[in-house]
Amino acid sequence: MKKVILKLKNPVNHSDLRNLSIINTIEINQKNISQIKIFVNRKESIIGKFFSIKISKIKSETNEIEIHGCNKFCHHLGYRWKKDKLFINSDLGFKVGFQMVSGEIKINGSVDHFLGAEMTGGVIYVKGNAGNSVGSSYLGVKQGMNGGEIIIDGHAGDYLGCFMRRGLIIVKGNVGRFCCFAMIAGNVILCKSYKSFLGLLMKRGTVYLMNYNIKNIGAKITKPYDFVEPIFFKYFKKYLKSKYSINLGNSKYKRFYVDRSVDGIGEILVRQN
Amino acid sequence: MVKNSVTLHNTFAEAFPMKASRLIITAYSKKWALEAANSFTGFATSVIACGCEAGIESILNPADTPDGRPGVSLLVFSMSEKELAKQILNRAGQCIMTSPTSALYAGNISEKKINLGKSLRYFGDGFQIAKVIGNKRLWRIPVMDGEFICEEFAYQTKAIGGGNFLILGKTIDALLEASEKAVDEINKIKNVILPFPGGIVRSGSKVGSKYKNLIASTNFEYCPTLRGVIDSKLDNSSNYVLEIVIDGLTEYDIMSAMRAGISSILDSGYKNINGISAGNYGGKLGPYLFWLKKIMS
Repeated sequence: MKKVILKLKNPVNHSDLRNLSIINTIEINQKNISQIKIFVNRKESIIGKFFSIKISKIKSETNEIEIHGCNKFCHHLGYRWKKDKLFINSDLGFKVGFQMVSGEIKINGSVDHFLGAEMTGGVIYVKGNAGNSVGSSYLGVKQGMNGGEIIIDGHAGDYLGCFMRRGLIIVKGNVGRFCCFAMIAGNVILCKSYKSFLGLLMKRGTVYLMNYNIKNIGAKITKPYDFVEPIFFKYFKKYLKSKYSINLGNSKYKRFYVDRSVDGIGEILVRQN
Repeated sequence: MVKNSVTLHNTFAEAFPMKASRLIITAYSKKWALEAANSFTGFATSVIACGCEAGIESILNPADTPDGRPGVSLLVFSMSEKELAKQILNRAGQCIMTSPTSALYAGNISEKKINLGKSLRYFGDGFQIAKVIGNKRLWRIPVMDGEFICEEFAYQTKAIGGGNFLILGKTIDALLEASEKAVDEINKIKNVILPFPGGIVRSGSKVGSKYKNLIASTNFEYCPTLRGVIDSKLDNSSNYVLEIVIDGLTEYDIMSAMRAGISSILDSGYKNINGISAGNYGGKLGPYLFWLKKIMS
């Protein structure tokens, strides 16, 4: 397989890199890659004009694409990403991994809004922070993330997992307001604090609160009760440990259902001290 | 071939193609995993009347199971895809879902799916929850001790049934001892099961019967009490015969199991064991022929 290293020659004020995902389907060579069309500073251009391209052979089952020198004005990277590994060694703009299908995106920086929105598969790692609407639906769409996994080492903004239907989101930092708004199914693990209106209009799905604080839940909830670690949780813990080296520990949980105002049976599990 | 006064007959075991699936049961303790597994594999000795042949393949350590609890790996064999699916679903619902603390997972992967949680979930009466973790879809069905976790599908694979060998002995105690030793050795091998009670069968059968509706009847050539009445394959000193039937996923697995079982008898030098033979139907029943001498060479 091949490794492609793209370096942005000069910083840009705005770039739309969604067409870079064509790299999943074309034969990888200097000519094909340099001819991929992108929008830079709102004008159509080609990759070869703004990026230096270096291609080498690697011993791997998938191609690897490494991008350096981008900034928060580089948007739509990993749009409908189908296969291969994509490494970005900088911050990025909005809609990263939007409608991603499969493969892996690793961002060594922070990203803006709509990270992994409407994605259906694959894995996204973010070393820094993420903006609003992580794994949610785009404006006006009623179905958010429908598969795949997002792991954020830093903090995330509002509307995380909004209309989420399937998949897994792990946030190791804090999250903003309206987290899991109208969530349909899936798993969300929040390692630190959250702001108001958690689980509002939530239908199903599971939210794990690793910080034992259960204030500011905007949804109508059932009475919490003690919950000895269920079998599913053991399965889930083993999966997280083997795949992401995340250890959820051996704690007890309190469990309650949300949002009962819409007859929802979404579950919130709160880790106890 | 004679070794330690035990004769290895120049014959072959005849086996036939089957469909199989591997299931993994986990539970709070090894005891309860085994309870569920034993219940599931009960009345699953022969496809002649049980619908399937099933057995415990191995006991799994917590580190080897999907949820980190003690577990048991089962293999289920049947003649058709439809019957295999029916047997697995019925037995999973009645024997595993009902067993305390149990959970059920697929133990193999293939393109042919068998409904497991996909059908059992309706027991949850609307309170069941689906969870997709990685590439697996699990159902969480609320039950009185918490939740029954069940993978959405089991998977069907090609397999072989009817590998066998017969042990001919002078006394029943020597024959049982030798057979049990062979079973112990075969149980160490993966991808095979011995579906009969304790891994041993005394009522070896042949295809068909003088009675119209019976698809199988006693293998009279190896019945010691019929010596003198029919053209028996037993000599005067072979007063007892027991059979070990082996189902496996591949020819290699069955050959390995037969080799392990037969070696354990040949090497041990049992005084009252006369010989080792095999059950076949002249090559008419199945395409797989396991020649004893070839296996032991």
